[in-house]
Amino acid sequence: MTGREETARLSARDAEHLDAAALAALVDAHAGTLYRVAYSVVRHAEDAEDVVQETYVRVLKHAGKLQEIRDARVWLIRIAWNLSLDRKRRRKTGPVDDDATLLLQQLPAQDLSAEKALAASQGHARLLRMMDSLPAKERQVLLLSAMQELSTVEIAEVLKTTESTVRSRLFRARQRMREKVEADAAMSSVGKGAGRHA
Amino acid sequence: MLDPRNELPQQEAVETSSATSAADLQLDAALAALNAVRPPARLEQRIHARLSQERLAPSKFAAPAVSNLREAIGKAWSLPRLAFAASAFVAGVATTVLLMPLLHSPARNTAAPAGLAIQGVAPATPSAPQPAAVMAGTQPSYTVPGPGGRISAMSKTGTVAETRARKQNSDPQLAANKQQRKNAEAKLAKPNRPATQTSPSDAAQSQPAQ
Repeated sequence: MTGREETARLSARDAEHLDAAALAALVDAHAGTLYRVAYSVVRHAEDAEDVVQETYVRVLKHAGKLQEIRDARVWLIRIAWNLSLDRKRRRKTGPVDDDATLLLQQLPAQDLSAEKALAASQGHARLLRMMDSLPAKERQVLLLSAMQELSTVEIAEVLKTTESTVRSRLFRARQRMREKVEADAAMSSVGKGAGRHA
Repeated sequence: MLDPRNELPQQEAVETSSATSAADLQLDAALAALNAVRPPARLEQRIHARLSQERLAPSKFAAPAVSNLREAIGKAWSLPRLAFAASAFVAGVATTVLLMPLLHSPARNTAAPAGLAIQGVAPATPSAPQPAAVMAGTQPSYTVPGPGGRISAMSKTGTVAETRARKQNSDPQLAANKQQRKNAEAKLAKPNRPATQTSPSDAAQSQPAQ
């Protein structure tokens, strides 16, 4: 069921008193997506879970607005996105937990050996740290583009901008990331060469 | 023919493209890892539990902040307290209204120069006599500390003679001196007093016989 169909179904009910079944349907349909969106920003499992819970509490709070919502899924993602940004901003002073080990815990088990899985998660964690150094708008587009469920139009709706802006930001973000990755690879090869000579 | 400046050596071009694709692959892998993050096993149950909790406490979000404020005021201000506060307010207003004429009385206004009517100013000092007062023969006004350290001002105005008379009346030595002087003056004045009236016998004696 698409977000729009779902919204139409929910709007038929009395939105002022969003019943438990409708809300449960929203939870079952989108909790996973919202968790991934939240995790991509906060990089902390418990925080991401809190964000998802808070998102549904907001839905309950503003159930009356549901009739005005065109796409419930995008609306939910936008709420979760904004809450995640708020949480990350508040947590900036605290320790950063986007460790490779934590990321490894969040990833599904694959057929890789433990060593390979750890190495892969370390590589991912390094890249995500690089991503954090991007300008905020480009980083946001790149993170949302990672969600395969979201199209460019939906990303534009979440960020309240146009589709062309999303495309151009995504292009710039990927270009910058490419440069960073190449520079990182060059540095590591220099380091290895120096180590070999020594 | 290609411009040699724009032409990359074949080997270098291959390396650049492979490096680019490697970078893209790494980036895509990291983004895919983010997309592959799995939510906790009991996430949905926890959300349902939280939502039911929120439903049980609807006033937390169903009521706006205004009603919370109203509740808080209701708790803090019971009826007796409100009555006490209202009566205190009325009493305060009434006192102010009653005291207003006293505070703005003409005597207080003419009491002292504005600069001296300050609380905590020390002892009484005569203020500089105003030219008009000097010409009229009046005394300068005095400011004396009143009860409670508050400066109350009083003006003792009048003629020089009146002031002197007051002083003499208040000083017994001066009064005695004045009395002595009066007596002495009276004694001196008695022998020299010219006869103002003649008796009929004297008049007869002095009259020459005709």
